[in-house]
Amino acid sequence: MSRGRWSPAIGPAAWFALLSLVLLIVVTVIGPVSFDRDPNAIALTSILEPPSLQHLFGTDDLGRDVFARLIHGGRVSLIVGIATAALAVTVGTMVGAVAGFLGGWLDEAISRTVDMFLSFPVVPVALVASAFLTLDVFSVALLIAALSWMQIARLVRGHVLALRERDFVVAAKTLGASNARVLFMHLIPNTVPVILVAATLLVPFAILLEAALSFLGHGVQPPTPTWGNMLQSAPRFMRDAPWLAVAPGLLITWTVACFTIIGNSMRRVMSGVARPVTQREVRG
Amino acid sequence: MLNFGLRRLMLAVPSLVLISATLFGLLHLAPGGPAAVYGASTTLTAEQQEQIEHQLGLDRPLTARYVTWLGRVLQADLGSSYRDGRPVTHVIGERLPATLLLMGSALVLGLMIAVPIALIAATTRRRSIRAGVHFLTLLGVSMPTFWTGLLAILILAGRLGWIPAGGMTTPGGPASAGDLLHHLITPAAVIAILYASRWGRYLEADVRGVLDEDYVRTARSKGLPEVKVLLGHVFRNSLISIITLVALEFPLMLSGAVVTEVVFSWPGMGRLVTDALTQRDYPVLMGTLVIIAMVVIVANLVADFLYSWADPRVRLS
Repeated sequence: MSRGRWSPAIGPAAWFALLSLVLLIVVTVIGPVSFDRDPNAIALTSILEPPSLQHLFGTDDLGRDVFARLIHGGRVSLIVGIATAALAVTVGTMVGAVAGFLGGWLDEAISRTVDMFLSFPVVPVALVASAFLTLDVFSVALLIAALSWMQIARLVRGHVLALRERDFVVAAKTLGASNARVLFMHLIPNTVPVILVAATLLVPFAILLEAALSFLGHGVQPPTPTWGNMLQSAPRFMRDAPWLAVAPGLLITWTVACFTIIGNSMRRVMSGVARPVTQREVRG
Repeated sequence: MLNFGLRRLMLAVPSLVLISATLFGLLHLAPGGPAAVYGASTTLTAEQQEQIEHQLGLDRPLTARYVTWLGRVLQADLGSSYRDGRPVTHVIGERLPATLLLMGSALVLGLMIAVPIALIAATTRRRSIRAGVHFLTLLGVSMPTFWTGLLAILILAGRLGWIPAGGMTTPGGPASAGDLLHHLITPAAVIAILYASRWGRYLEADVRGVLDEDYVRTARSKGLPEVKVLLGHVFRNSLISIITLVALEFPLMLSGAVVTEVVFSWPGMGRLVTDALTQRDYPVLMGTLVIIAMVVIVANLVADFLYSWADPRVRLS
């Protein structure tokens, strides 16, 4: 693997995106520790204050510090995004790999189920399903994952179908490898690069959906701050406190853009360089 | 082609049944489902409650209720609203045109932006233009639509007073096309920005792929003006991808409309979903979801047809 083949895809934009994400993660992880201000501390004497040195992004309608809430909210957005991707990848990979590998009626049944899930209108169904859950960070991640594992399953199924006939798989089978061994040692590892790209692009989808659900009041519930539910009250105070509407949206846009850039760069690297499948094949 | 169409059509019916059954189960098993609406009432005696549940058929098993519901749906009867007793088909009939108008305008506007920027970005030799388009489309796909909508209301309606802050018509005012357009333009633009960016990014790659084709080189080398090559050869080919893409993304658009409709108080299907959800109006909710699912399936079907029409190889599978 020569460096030259990798470098054109990873442009300055991708490095910038990566750097901002690292920064964001560091701030949301360390921030609440070093910046010691309670995001839920209500101070009715200082409501809707404009940005100042004491409150960098002003205060909201309950006098809570917007900056502190942004940091805590960022943590929620990132956790929801990454947890959703992890959950969806786990389920999608298993389902897709089994369908592609075993084929037959099971594949047909799984594929139809995937089609059905893909036909669900995501936002309305998520709104209805949210009634079942106590809406904390992980149940929201679970809900979004339940509505987004299908793309991964489809992707993995397609790749496993193609890989199934390859020489190294046939060889492994001839050597007497069990189905489980072929699946877990040969097929799934070879789909990892594709899965990684899809997972990276799933994170912004999850962040956007969480923000929309929280905005509609069906996502992570207050007082836990998220970028989405911070915007929920913004319309009411548009006239008196327009700053409430700006920062959370900017941060959502920023984070989503960074994940999108990184995911797309990864995809370009994969399609530009020799296919990951063949690399592995040559090596082992 | 006919065979292919019939097969797809036959697959669409069971999947619609399956989807509606899942939604039905989801709605009726949810905590605070239909039975709980009346169960929570303190003014009713136990007998009255039982009587109402019996009238609404809520004391029957879930599967039986679903079969009854499905049977009525086949006769174009979606039940009647818990809130005001009006037939659900009427309630939806009032709201559907508003959503279709919003979606249609957003779609047209989105294409009017996406196609030119994709053609420009794919053919320009100036890196700055291409980078600019890429930056804007990245911004377009990254901004949450509800936030774009909020900002538009904040600035265009609040500060500048150029547009109304919401609704579809001026209350009490005379109904006119100009007034409607005035209300329509911002929500449509907000949705259009997102989809123009999505489609623009996809189309640019598509156009670039077509530019490498032999027939484009042939057209160029026989001396055809570049504009003719672009519009006659390249764009005509990309048109197929556009149509397929739009049909495939329509469900997503429809589902995302919920958020935009809430932000702009647009009286469409999306608002109906959120309103019915807060009012626990289950027949309306179920009816709306099924109609949306139906539109989604029809859109998928159309995408399938267009795709197979465009690419004969698909027909074999």
